[in-house]
Amino acid sequence: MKKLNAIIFKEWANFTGSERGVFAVYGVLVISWSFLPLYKGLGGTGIEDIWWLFFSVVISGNFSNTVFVSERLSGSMEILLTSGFSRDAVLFGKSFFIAGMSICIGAVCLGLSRLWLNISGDHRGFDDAVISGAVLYCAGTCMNVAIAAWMSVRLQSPRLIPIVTILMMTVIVAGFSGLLYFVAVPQWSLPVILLSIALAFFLLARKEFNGERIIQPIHL
Amino acid sequence: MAPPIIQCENLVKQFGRHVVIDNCSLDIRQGSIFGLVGLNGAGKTTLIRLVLGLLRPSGGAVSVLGHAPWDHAESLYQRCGVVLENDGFSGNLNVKDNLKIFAAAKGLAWKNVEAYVREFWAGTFIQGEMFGPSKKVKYFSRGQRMQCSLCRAFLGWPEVYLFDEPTVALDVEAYDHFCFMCRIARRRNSAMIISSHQLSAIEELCDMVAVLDNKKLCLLDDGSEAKDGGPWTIVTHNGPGIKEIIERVSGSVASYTEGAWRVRLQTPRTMVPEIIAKLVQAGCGILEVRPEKQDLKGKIRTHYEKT
Repeated sequence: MKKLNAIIFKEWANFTGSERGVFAVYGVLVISWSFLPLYKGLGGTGIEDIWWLFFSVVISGNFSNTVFVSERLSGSMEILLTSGFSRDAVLFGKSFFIAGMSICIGAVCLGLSRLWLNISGDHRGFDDAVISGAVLYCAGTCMNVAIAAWMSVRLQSPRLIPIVTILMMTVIVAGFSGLLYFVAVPQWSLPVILLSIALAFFLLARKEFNGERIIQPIHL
Repeated sequence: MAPPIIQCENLVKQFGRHVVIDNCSLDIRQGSIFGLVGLNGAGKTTLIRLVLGLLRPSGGAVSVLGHAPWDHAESLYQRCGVVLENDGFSGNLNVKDNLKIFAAAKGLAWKNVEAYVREFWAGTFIQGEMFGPSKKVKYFSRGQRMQCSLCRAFLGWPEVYLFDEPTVALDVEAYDHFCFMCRIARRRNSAMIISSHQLSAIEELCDMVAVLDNKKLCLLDDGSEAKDGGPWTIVTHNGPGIKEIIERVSGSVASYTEGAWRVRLQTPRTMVPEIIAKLVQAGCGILEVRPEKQDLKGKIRTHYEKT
């Protein structure tokens, strides 16, 4: 547990030591995205759940690039793996950090959305949507992190990670929407599907982290 | 004889059909430093990665402190100090925070890390960074980052050290400090592999030197020259009775050329102290006594000429 915390601390300290521009970008992104639920408030289509799901792709994809990919690009993963940390501690420490940051940023975004709706005086159904949106967001984040962890080792060109993650998410959401059109599938099944995929990819990522490929050089 | 710490037995590594290491055997014992040299692309880094368990052997076996490194046991890595091509530091953190992370990995208490830096890195820039105002590692020069890597590698005085080009970008003082730390580690009975193109470092520190050439390890210096019989040089003036003293003790013919006596000693361990004592007794000043050996560069050249 101490080693897991040390990895999380390492990533946290590395993130907080970033240039100010990084925080500005996250700030603008969170504020901009928080306005999207207002679309429903104005009588929109009710797709706010999906907005949250894709917000998780953007945020966790960005963190994954920094946390998983940059370490492999610089070659510092070798040192981390031979310094006394177990490979599971490295994989799960990094994953927990990305998931934690992604969920915190998502929570801020949701909170801001609630604020804008309060100010606009229209919050029809928002509180129900918050719960389902938050559940979907968390499940989506887990899936994105697991896919990114696996792909950071498997892909020769890891800059494709955000694109592939978006592709995966789009295919899953599109498939689920199509299914909903024909069959009455319960609402909770989408988070379950996402979490199942996350579990499968975590197992694959764990295998890769214990293999040779983890130290192979990669290029952008 | 000291027990072996690092053992490779008929080690083979191939990537697809391309064989990089072929049937290499190695035995590094407690308190010895092994130098690894070879041309670029000869497979030195691959060999170190195999010993570290970063690569899985295609054949043969590796054992470090009794463990198979490919099992990735945390306890094994806690007993290893490593310097590889990349320093592995988080650029946005200062030295102190970086060392905190690696100390946690090795299960070391922070107060022990501070005591280690105070005792062994006093007077270096690392001490200043640890106990004074600090800056992020990303603003360090290459040499400073290498010093930080070395500081991390010796942290907790592990039993095994694996260094891949540890002297790159080090200034004279930092290089001397590295040699000083290596000697302490040797006194603590650790085993060390140093892979480097800087032959002076290898020559200065290593007890055994091997060249990795054509996928095979070839021992250039097994450290026996100074212990076993062979030609020795005694630098002194030429005076009456000196030749007789040297020849009487050694039982061989001594010749005097270019201000030095050259003689073959069968058992240097007993003969060298006896010759020195007798010469001093005879009032002869001695400047230097050393085994005559070819320098490492010469040995490597001879090896490549032969092959």
